[in-house]
Amino acid sequence: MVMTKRVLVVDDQPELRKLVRLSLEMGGYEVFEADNGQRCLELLRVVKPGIVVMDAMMPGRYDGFQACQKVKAEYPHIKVIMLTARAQQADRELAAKVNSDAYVTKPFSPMALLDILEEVAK
Amino acid sequence: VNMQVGIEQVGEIVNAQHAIQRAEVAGLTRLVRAARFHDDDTGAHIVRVAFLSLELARLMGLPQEQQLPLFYAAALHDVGKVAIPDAILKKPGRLTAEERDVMQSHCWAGARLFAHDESDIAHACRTVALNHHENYDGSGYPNQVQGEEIPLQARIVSVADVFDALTMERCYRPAMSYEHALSLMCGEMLRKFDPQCIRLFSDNIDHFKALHGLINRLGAVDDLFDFYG
Repeated sequence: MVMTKRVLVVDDQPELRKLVRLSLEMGGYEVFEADNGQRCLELLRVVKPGIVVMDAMMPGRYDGFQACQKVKAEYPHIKVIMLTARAQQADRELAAKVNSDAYVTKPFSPMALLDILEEVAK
Repeated sequence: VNMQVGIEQVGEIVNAQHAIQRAEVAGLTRLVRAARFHDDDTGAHIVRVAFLSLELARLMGLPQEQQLPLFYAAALHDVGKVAIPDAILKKPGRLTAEERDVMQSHCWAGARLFAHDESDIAHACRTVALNHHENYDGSGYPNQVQGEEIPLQARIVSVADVFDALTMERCYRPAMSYEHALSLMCGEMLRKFDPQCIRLFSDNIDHFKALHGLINRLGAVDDLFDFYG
C-alpha cells in the first residue's frame, strides 16, 4: 500500500535535503532520503512513498528529469514534485514532458513547499 | 539582429542564460558566506532573515520571479557592514554622533557593492541594502524616505530583520520571546512598518515562529544559497 504521508526526497545536496526534510516533517510527513536518481529508483520499492520530491539537477546516471520519467513510467500513481533552479520556461516544459505533477522553484519557503504537497496529494 | 532564430540557437541561448545565472549565483553565494563570517551570530541571523523575508514576500503575493532576487537581497541586507571598522561595529557602549554616522553608512556601502550592475538580483540587493533601515513613517535612515517611496522589497526585509534582531540574544539584553517581539512591533514600533507587511506578518506569526526554529535546527546552510549546485 502506498503511504500518501510518506515522502522520498531526492537531492545530491545534503543541506537541501535537510531543509526539505525539516519542512515536510513540520507538515507531519514521514521523510526518506536518496542522494541520486539511481538510489531513488532502488528505494521506491522498499519505501513505497506517495510523493517524491526530486531535484532537477543531479549528477550521476540520471538527472532529476530522467529519474522522474522512470518513476512515472513504473509507478504512475506516485506523485513527483520537481525542484528546479529557476522558473525557466525550458525547465517548466521539461517538467511537464516527464509527467511530473508539480514543480517548485528554488529558493522556496518551507510553507510554499507544504502547500504544493497538499495540493498534489489531493 | 537576425530575427530568424533556429531551434538549435534557442537551445544555445537557454544554455548561455543558465551559465550566466549560475556564475552570478556562485558569486552571490560567496558574498553571503563572507557576510556570514563577519556576522556576530555565526551567520544564522542572515539565513533567518532570508527565509523570513521569502515567506513574507510569498504571503504578500510577490511574483515568483522576484522571490529569488529578494532572497539574496535579504541575506545581504547588512553586507555593507564589512566597510565599518570593528571598533565601531563591535563597540559595547553607546556610539558618539560621529560613530553613529559611520555605522549608518553601512547602507551606502552595501548599495555600492552592487553598483553598475543591472541584473534583477543586483538591483534587489542594492535596493534592500540602501533602504532596509528606512521607516514607513519617515523616521529611518539614510534618506528618511517614507511610505510607498520605500521600495517594497526593503519594507518586507525590514519586518523580518527587526523581528529576528529582537528575538536574538544581544550583549546588552537577553533574547525576547516571539510574543514580546511581536507585541512591540505591533505596538510602539507599528508606524515604522508597511501596514500590509506587518498585518500579514502578525496574522501568520505561526509561520514565522516555525521558520525561525527550523532554520536554527538546520545547522550548515551555505549550499542553500547555491541553487545550481
